[in-house]
Amino acid sequence: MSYNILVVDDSAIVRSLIGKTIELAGVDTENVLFAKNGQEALDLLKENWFDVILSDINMPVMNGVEMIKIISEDDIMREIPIIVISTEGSTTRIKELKDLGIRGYIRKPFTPEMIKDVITKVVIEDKTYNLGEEL
Amino acid sequence: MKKEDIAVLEEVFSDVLEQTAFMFTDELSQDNLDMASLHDTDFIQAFITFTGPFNGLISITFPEDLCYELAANILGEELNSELVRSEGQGAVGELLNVVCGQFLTTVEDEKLVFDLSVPLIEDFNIDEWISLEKQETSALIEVEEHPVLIHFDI
Repeated sequence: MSYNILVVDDSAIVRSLIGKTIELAGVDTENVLFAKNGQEALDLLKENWFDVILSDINMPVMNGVEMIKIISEDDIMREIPIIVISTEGSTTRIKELKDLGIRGYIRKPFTPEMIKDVITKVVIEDKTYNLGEEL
Repeated sequence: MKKEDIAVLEEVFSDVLEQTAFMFTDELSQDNLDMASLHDTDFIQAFITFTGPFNGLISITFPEDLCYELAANILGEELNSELVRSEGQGAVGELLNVVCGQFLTTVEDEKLVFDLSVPLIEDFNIDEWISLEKQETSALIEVEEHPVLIHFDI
């Protein structure tokens, strides 16, 4: 099965890096689309279905937390698993994101193996990734 | 956070640079700085402000040429590729973003929540460099034979 993936990050260099990393990780993709902030992501979500969203938190215009809140309140969009890829290290903030329904969390910097593992766990095996019980 | 934490910031910066760009750091002292060549160097400064239990700022000042080497290494692209030339400064911003996140959770309780600004990039001149370098919460580091200045302020 091939996947439609949405990557949300304000940094062009990170968007490019995640795109390359998905390719390097050998993830079978049909389409990878990119958004610079939460609002752009929501605009793309109106027109497209995605199998997974990989999103940063700290972004201008609309940050990742605001975007995730909106998605979590929508009956259709809430079905799309969200994986946060961020520099965020606060356990309080990660718990808040977990409570909003994110399915995986990767702390930057990341490796191709981490991207492959998180997509395998969350999308293929329908499990969570790196959201320990201690949270 | 205390002024001695500049040593932690140095360590975090070195680790993140190695992990993200396979670039390595060396110690650099003021005495070994070639001031004449610094005057001929264009610098940029990336800085992030943070708010939370207390507020502050972290900055990295890079020679502009080194930005492109950083971007090329992060992306695994040629130095003269279009993406590297257009995103060189953004690479420093992203490096700082990662450094800032790691630094705050290293020196402070992991439960504390800080809101980080997006990284901002500005041109930086030699007079500003000299003034910043003298501060107790600044450190000089050598990266690929270029001087880099890291700094925090609370």
